[in-house]
Amino acid sequence: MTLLRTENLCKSFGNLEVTHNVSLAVAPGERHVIIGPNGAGKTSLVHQLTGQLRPSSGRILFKDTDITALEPERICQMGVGRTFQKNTLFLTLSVAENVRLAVQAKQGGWYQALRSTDSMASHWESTYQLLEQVQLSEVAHHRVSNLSYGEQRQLEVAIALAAEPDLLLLDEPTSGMSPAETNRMIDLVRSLSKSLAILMIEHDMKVVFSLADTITVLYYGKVLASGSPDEIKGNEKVREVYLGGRH
Amino acid sequence: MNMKTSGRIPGFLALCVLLVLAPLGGDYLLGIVSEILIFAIFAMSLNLIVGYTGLLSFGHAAFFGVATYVVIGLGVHLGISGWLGAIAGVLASTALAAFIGMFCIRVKGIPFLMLTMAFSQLLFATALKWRSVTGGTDGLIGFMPPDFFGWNMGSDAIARYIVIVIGFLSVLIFLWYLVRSPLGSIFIGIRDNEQRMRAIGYPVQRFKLIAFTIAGCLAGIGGSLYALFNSYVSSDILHWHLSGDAMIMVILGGSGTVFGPAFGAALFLLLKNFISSYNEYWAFWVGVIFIFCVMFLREGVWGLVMKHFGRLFSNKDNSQSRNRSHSESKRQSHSHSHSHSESEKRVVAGAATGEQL
Repeated sequence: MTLLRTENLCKSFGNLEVTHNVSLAVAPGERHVIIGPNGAGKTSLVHQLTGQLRPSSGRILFKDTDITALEPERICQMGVGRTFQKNTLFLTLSVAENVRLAVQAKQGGWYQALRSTDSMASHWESTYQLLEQVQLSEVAHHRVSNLSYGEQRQLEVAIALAAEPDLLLLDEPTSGMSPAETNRMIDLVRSLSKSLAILMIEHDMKVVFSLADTITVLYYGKVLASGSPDEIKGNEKVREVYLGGRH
Repeated sequence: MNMKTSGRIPGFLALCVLLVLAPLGGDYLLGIVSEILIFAIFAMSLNLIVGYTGLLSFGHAAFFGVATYVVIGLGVHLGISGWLGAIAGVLASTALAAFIGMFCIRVKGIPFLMLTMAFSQLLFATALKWRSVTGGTDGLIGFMPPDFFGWNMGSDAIARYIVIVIGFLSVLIFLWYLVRSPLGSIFIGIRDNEQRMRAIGYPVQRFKLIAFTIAGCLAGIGGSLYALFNSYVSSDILHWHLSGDAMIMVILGGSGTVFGPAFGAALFLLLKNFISSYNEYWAFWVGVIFIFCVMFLREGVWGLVMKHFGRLFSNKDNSQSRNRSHSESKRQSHSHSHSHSESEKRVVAGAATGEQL
């Protein structure tokens, strides 16, 4: 049983092929990490999975439904949450309002024009639970632009979780973080429900091997290898192009 | 949250007192205030899409002008009462905004701006050439304003004024509610980060169209009131100059608040009245002030006023939130090292959600 499956996914920008025949599968509850050197096409792949980019060919199936041509909002509504590599937040709003907007997207009440958002008790209840979960309760009323970079990364996760997804895509959640912040992020990802499948892009090998059930290595848009952490560690090709040379 | 209401109620009462006192100043002053209130509605409606949804439109005069044309046209050609005409005018503007919006929201940024302007110029050209219906540049004369509880709005400036005040306050209060509602929060979210709004599951296009249509409807209220106030319309009302004036009002007053553009409308029209009585180059001086605002007062004149007077109104609440923040910092200092900067980092609640008065 697979939750997400891609079949021969290809994407090119002119002559540049960023994704070449990528076929991968994520099972429910699986922790799947994608690694690969810069420019391997990792973020482009995530963008295709969530509708920000349209693949040139191939198919993406989520819960056995073809989502290849769907808009980002539909894909989110079907149960795929994501974070962005570059923080993509509502910078002029408070931390709590950032999360509440995402909770409201899930819980509804969109067309109420005369009722104050302050009175939406169930929205705020879920909001504060999520903020507690990512340890941002203390800064709930701060403006997002005043948060530290690491806190903004945590907020990215809270917003993605608000959609109550079955699959969570994390695009380099620890990039640019201090070691202490990285540890906090690892603990956060570990603390998430076991029934939630996670597809994560990550550079930090410590994070990769401490979280992954499955690792897929991308290299110039192609899947170089895919398997358990031990298989990947023992794979000659991977050592050659990626682990060996630079790490 | 409390701060918003505690600052809003004294401000609103002060506004009501001013509006009640205005008739004492005589018919000339009343005429100016009436015009200000009408254009305040127009500017506030534009700000719903410019300031709150992040869509820069240069064709907003279309919705204002069409409503005015409908009221006057129905009255002059078919003898329909101004009240029915006003309802028809608002409906026409709303429908037109929904129709034009469907095309415009497909693009963003400058193309959006050009497309809105193109549509409104299309209507302007129609009004200019279709003289048998619109009167072209000569305009339509002979409109008979309706009675308001026995007062004739044509002969009684106070009757006109009362109707306009009712319209203005309704729009102002509606917008105050709207920007704090779930629907309003979606508009603000789109302004702040459209990509994220889509990624968390909002069909952004639909909400842009809703914002555009509501703005068109409110502009229609302004346009209908203008018809009742002026009893005359010519093709100038659809010209992009008027859209540009509204944009200047929004930026002068400040696009971050509901009331800012109303304040901008007052400033703009008072400057126009004041300077043009001394100097025929009034537009030049308004331009200079506009450039000054863009360069040095990014939140507009009203934003500046609120920054200083907002503090007076909200002293009590700030101290409350400061207390809360202190206890939080105390809790936090056990776990995090950066707790010392907490109280500086905190923002006033109103600013945190992007909308104050």
